[in-house]
Amino acid sequence: MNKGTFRHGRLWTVFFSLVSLLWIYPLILVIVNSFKKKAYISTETFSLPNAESYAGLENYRRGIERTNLLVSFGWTIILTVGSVLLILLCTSMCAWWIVRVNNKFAKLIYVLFLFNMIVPFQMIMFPLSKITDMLGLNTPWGLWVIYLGFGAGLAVFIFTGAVKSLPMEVEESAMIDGASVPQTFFRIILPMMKPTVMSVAILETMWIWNDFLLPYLTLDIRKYKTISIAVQYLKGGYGAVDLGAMMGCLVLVIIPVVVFYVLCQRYIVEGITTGAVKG
Amino acid sequence: MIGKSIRKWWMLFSLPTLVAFMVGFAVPFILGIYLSFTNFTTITDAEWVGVGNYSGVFSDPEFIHSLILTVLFTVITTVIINVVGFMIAYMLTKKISGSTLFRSIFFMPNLIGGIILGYIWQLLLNGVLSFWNRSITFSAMYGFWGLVILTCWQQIGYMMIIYIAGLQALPGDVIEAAQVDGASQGQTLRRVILPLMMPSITVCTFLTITNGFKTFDQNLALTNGAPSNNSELITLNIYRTFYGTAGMEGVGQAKAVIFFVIVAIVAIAQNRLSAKKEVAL
Amino acid sequence: MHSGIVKSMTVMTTVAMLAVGLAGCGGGGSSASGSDKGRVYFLNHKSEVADQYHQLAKDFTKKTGIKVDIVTAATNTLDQTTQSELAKKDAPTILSIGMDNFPKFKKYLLPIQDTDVYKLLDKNGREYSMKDGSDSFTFPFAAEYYGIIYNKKIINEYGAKPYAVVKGVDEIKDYATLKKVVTSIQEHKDDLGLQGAVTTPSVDASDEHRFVSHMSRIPLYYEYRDSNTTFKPELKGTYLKNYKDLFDLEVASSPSSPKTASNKTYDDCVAEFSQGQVAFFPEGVWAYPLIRNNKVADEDMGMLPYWMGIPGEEKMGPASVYDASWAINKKTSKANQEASLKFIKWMVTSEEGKKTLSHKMSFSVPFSAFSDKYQPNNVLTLSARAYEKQGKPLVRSFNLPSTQWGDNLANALLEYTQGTKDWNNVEHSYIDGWQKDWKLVKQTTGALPTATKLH
Repeated sequence: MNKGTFRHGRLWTVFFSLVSLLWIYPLILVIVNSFKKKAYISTETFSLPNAESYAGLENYRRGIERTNLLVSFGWTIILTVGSVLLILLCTSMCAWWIVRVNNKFAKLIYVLFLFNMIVPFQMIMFPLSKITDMLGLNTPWGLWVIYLGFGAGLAVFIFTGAVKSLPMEVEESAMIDGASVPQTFFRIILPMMKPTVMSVAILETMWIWNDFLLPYLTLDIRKYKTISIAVQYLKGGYGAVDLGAMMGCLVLVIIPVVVFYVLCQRYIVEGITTGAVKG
Repeated sequence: MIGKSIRKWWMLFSLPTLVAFMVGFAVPFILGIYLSFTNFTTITDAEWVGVGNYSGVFSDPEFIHSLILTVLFTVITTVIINVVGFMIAYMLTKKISGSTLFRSIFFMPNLIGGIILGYIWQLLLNGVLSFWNRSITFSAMYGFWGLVILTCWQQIGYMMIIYIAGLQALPGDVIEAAQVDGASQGQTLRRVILPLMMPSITVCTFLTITNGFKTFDQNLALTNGAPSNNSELITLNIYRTFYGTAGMEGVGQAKAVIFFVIVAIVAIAQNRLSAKKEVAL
Repeated sequence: MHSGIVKSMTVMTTVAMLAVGLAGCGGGGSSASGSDKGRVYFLNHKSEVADQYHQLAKDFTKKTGIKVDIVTAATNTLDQTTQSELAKKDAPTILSIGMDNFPKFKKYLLPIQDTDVYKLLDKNGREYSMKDGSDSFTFPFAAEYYGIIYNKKIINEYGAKPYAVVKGVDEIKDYATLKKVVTSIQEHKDDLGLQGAVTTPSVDASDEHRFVSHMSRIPLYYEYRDSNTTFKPELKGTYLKNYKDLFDLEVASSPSSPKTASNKTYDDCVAEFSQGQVAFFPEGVWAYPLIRNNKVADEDMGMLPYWMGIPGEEKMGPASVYDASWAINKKTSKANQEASLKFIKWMVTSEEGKKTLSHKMSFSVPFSAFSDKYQPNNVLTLSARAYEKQGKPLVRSFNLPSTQWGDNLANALLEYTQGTKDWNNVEHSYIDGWQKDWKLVKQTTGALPTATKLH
């Protein structure tokens, strides 16, 4: 019996190894093609670069130059980090307030936040782009506010779930000991919610880092492009698509994501699980 | 007692989120509903036209086409992603060497943005189709199935993670008891594990359904609706109505409202249904 | 406790201000530039000259202190970008307008016939400035010509062969001969060391302009000629069969199979011609900068009229188009309009502007300040203009209803090429789409172009 399952396990390992290879094959294909001259990418997609088709780092150079990719990286980082920090701070406070106050008003706004979760972006796309522009929020830091507003639903929802599971006695005794309300929140509640904070941070980072349409429609395109916009511009902004530059850009965009994943894998998996269980 | 002292602090604790919520969601949402009954090019020049825009929506064959395609797309991806995601999760919770590595690999595509994924798969699919002298824009079927494959590739890993968490949280004694009672592996899976997994299944179906309806970036990058807007999903149709044609903003907003109503109904119905099931179990 | 409240009041005001006040910061930054001098925001659609525009903008700002922003959105995203940018507070002040998007954006455009820049346009320039009633709205900045570009060297080499049907390009005087030559070259392409006779008709998004913005205007011109008019809201499609004939010829004589044609991009098509792999390239003079400095020498390049077998076409030259135009946004501030006009005036009068537009960007600019010294060094332009000197008038380009019409036509052509739909579908998007889209234009803008007598 024992021996049998072991052999079975071997087979499954082989099976999953093959499937895994297949799974990352699209990424490998892009990397391979990024070293070919552009004329060979669409004609000999599956062959390795040879003496004639090898392009060296030329595609990377052209991709960076055409899209101003490094600057876009900077804007995307500012946009994502700022938005996520603001969301974490504001929604965790708001969630705690909602749960502990729990009057009619608090319940009402909680329902509104729930409602926010089922509204697709297209519904508010046009008015939102108009409002961000009128208020001058068309900058990466202006969009922090927009992401806080549009992304509040899920974050508040997850945080309220976490607050509900906290024992109220700790807070009560802290306040009796003379701690002010903000002190209680920042010194006691927030540290206790650390896993939830991580989980929300991961979910929101994944969303905002990769978001395309919201920044595309709201950012001032004269000054700011996120990486998704830059890549899309490579396709749309020039009459002809430079497949070489495209491959270079794709690889450059994927690398940091993979590095981030390898470094934070544990948190990402936990984040998604808590997010899903609570959601 | 705590509630009262905290309530006074509403300006610090709830106001910032509420203000942002107003700016980034509530006001545009209400404006969106209002604008769907008007003709406008910018918000300030809206003229009331009543339900005219809505009748315009249903006389647009491309919208209907994109709606049907979206429903099909959602159903197909939901089934594939959940079945495959569950199967992989089930196998990878068994003692298989390398299972941690496999999980990591399956999950990876989730972290990459939709636009980027679209171009990655465009390269691969065009490369494959070129053996038959075709390209992804050859027919809407290619674009559609290409999008299905892409979406499954992207989301299977995500759902797998949720299923794994669910499987690991299962009470081990119940399963052991079933096996001691002589249930086969298949029986245990069907009679014991699946019912216990209903909460995870609910969450995952909900996520895949909403993701399916909301798919935009991948569609834009992979085919942009080609050929002849035939591989266009509903979100892309709405976008094109707004920014591709002149004077159609009102109709675009009406389409957006209809789209919202559909998504809301699906979400609520799904929630009710699964809530009932869980209780029944 | 009291001081605690004060302290935390400060904290919460800060947080609230952070949320709301960012609006102020963001807005302040951009409106600060909107001082008395005004600012210029030019939405350019010619990506191939974007760098030169940026250089001009920099020099202009250095001279006048007026800030100039330039954003480039190529043809296939221009309308979307224009529309979303116009809805913004800091909207573009100079728009790129062509005949196909003029009806759509007319209501945003400033009438310019009374400005002093308008008076600088030459006769052709004023004639082609897009009008509605007595108002003019656009400054055409490039006279362009399109037809069938050829490689004289290849045709001469072919002419020396025993199987040649002509000796040289001078003997190609009508479509029937052209067709024979193309077919014969295609048949003997291996012997001639060619990939094909004509560049691949890819009809991919990057290449579709050749077929929907240019080639489609040839049957249009002759149908208008027959009715002696400059506009018809409904078409018969009399000469679409000729369009089909030329299109089929291109498909049959290109280096690619019909099914892979759409895999090629415009870059690939240009490369086929510029690398000397094909003899003919139906395209406009704007391709010259992309072709030169490759394997086709300047003296070997020339242009045939866009023949497709329509009666009377042999008396005409290639087609001309004054499509690319600048226009001023009516809804931006007075100061911005002034600044934008000033920028345009500087580009068409200063030494630097004139040199850049004519020599570096290779535009044939219809402003009177562009004397012979400031003409593009574009051999294709010269070749096209030579027909006029021989008494062969150029085919005029008329308004197309919308970009959407073009996109639909391109899709229909693509499906026709791939064999998934038949030719009827192309005619349907051409003729029925024409009627439908002009109706839509009338609905949304309230007017159609005014028809006058052509002759």
